[in-house]
Amino acid sequence: MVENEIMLEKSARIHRLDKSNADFFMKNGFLAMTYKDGEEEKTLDRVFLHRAFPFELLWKYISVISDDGKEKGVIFDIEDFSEDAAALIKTELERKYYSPTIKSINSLKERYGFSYWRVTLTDGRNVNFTMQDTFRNIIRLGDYGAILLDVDGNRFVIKSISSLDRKSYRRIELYL
Amino acid sequence: MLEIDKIPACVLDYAYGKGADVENIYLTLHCDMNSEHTYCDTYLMATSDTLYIIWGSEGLVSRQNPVKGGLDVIWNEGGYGEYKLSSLKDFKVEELLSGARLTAKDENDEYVFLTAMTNFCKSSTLLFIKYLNKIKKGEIKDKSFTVEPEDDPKSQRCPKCGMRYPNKHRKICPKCMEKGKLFARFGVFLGKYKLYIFIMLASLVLLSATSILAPYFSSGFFYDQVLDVDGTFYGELLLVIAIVVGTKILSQIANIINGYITSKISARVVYDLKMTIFGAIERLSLGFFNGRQTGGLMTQVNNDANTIYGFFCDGIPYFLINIVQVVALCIILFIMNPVLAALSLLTIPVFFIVLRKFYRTSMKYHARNYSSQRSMNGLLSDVLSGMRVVKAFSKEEEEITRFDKSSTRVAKNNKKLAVFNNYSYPLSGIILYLGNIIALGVGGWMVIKGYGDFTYGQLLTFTAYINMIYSPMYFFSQMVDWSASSSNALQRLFEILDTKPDITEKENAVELSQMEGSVEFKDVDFSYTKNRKIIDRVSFKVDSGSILGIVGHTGAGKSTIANLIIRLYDCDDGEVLIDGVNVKDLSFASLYNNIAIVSQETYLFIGTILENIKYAKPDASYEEVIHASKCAGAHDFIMKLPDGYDTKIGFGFKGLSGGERQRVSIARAILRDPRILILDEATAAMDTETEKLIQNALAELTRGKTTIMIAHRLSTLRDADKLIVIERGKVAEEGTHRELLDKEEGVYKKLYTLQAEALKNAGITE
Repeated sequence: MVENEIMLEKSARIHRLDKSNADFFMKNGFLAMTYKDGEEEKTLDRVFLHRAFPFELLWKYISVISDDGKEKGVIFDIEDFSEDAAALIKTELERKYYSPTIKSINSLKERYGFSYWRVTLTDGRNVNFTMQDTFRNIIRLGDYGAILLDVDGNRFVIKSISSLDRKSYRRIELYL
Repeated sequence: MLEIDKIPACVLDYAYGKGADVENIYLTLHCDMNSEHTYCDTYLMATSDTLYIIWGSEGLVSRQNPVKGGLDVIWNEGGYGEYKLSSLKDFKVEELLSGARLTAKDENDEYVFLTAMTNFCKSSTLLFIKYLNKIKKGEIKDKSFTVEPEDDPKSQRCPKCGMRYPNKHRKICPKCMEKGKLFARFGVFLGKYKLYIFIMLASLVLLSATSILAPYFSSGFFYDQVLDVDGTFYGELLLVIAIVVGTKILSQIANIINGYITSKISARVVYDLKMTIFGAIERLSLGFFNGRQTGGLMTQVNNDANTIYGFFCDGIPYFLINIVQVVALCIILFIMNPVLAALSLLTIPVFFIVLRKFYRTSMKYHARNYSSQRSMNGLLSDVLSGMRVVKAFSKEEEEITRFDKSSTRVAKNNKKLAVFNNYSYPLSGIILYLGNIIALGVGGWMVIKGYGDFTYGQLLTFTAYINMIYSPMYFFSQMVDWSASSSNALQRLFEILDTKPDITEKENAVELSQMEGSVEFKDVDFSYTKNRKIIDRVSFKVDSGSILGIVGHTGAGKSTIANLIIRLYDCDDGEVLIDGVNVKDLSFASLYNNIAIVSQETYLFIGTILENIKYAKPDASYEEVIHASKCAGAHDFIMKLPDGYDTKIGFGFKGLSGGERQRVSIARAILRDPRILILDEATAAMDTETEKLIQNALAELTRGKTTIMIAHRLSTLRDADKLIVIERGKVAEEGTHRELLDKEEGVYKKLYTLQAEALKNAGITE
């Protein structure tokens, strides 16, 4: 009984990671971590980061997962780490969660259940993509934004639909 | 050579300059990011022993040649990497949110970051890995290797626009697909109704002809030839009345025939269409249903059939007749009075322009209305299904507020749409009516002035014909959208008809009427989605008549093993053998008649308990049904129901508890008397005591039969002849209960001890 309680407590406990017990560095182009396991210092050559609340908190509550899929701990706030480590964590998260943001919709055509989009992104690139079942694949983000999922699994973000230019707004309006 | 993407000449030149063996490239690929996750052109090329990665961008420079001039394409170097293939293994495409990374491991098991990409390049990268592994394994020995037809990049793209097909199993480009071809293909489907369609068209022609004749006899002819003293038929009132009545009777007969044929044909075409769609859906493999909502498919079966029917049996015939009628009327009008005809018909193009404008706005209101309605319905069904939770957390007030907000939105959108419709259609009608006014005004003036011998009777006929031209205009204006929605429905219909089931029965499949029942997995690999192996090199053997227990954590892949045995899915690699025969070679009949599965997710159809149990063996006797129910521990609770085995269950009828449903489905499996019985968490929803009772009954029943039991509760598997422990898709341990318990630090031992301890604490001893 006691053993079970200990196990439950252990599995329910959140192991908070900060600069006192962990540090991050790059190895072969991948994010790696050193951490304290009791008194012993251990190294993981690869760790994966997952945001717990990707829509609300970008730099808080980040789960650190090892190569074998086990959670090593949770970063409550990236500011709990040194500037260098925080920058590495930030870059890794930005890379993982990167979704291009749409600035304007230049053309939108619908044919036989597919819609064909030509858009300009905030980084200036022009991109074409195809969506299937368009209504279902536009996910509203709060009251203002939206995420568009294309047939390849790419995600395109519109931060604020109302701030799109008039023509772009008219093109997407029917799907909202 | 497999050129997934073409390598530009400047890149090849650059690679050559770096010492790459560009003459012997087997495989090429383009990705749109580099290992720094920066957008650029990254090219991967593989020879028999080396992988080259080159990134940078193409640029243009002016030619140095002063005579020719022009521009040269050059390669702006970003970076260059070279890896010996023998030093790399475990190539993997790791998914990010909107992109992926191509990684591998080196000889020291350290990760190597090869490149990043957006999801646009992911599927071609997976193809690249597939062939890279073949090169590594030595399966590809020279440049001229054969590429599997489905992997040929050309076969995946539309030859016309170059775009990748959205559905790789159905090589149709929606962008370039011609509507005409779709309709022609459907025309073949309508072939068996050609007689009806002919009669329908003939009746419509008659209807149209009589409607053109009627105004002529009742107005122009009547005033100018019968009432006028100079008329040819002056005073012949009876003749005119007979003609008018005769035309009317003819028109009514045509109308009755048309109505009769339409109602006869409509029910049959809709029935045929629904059966075709449903039949095609039923034929498809389980994989097809995983990516779709059941609701969507239901809408498809119901709505699409009606849309297609509506367009072909109502739309097209009327469209054709209207076209003929309008053309005929225009000719008549221009013969009667060309000037007046040209002036009166001027309003038609204006009408179409205004109507298109209104239509766009109307679509917007409709879309908003539909979307608010849909979200309100969603909210309603959400709250009603979750009423227990709402009550438990006393959230009634919040839910009422939420519903009020959503309902207000619906009301507002409804009002806007109604107001718009109220003024838009009358407004566009006024434009058409203007043509009528022009005809009356200018025509009246012509009659008074005696311009071109235009008579009063002719004016009456003219205005009657003008009105007849206007009425099909609304019909034409909607025809474009009608044809669009119908071609969408047709496209969906053909998509289903053309989708090939992933699981098909082999020609000359092996018939095993009486199976022995041995099951063997040989190095089986399986994944539901690319890049995520669920079953990884699994091998085991179950002798016929023995019991195999499968143990493992949730999501370890236990149920997938069961799905592979009964061929709900086919394995990606390796073999699943029954009596030494690959399941892919076995006929469906031998497979399904000899294997029964009871899973945790039991599904009972609407009907009686008896019908549900007999589903597996429709000709079973009453005794057999009772015997099977008794074995499954279902008989006692069934007998407590007032209607016994005739109790209606399923949607809207008596609900059974989870445990009861499982027992009914076990009875169903027992009744089939299979050679191989798969119990996938079959007793999970029962209390320990009932479970034990059923276990005992099953033990009797399964004697001599091959049984595969998947269970969380390890005690139920104690008597199995062999146990396998599945961990993350692999066989971690194998042996009897005793052997596994003897393993120090064993996974099974750990799980068993934990469960036994937990049960002991709960006061249950086993």
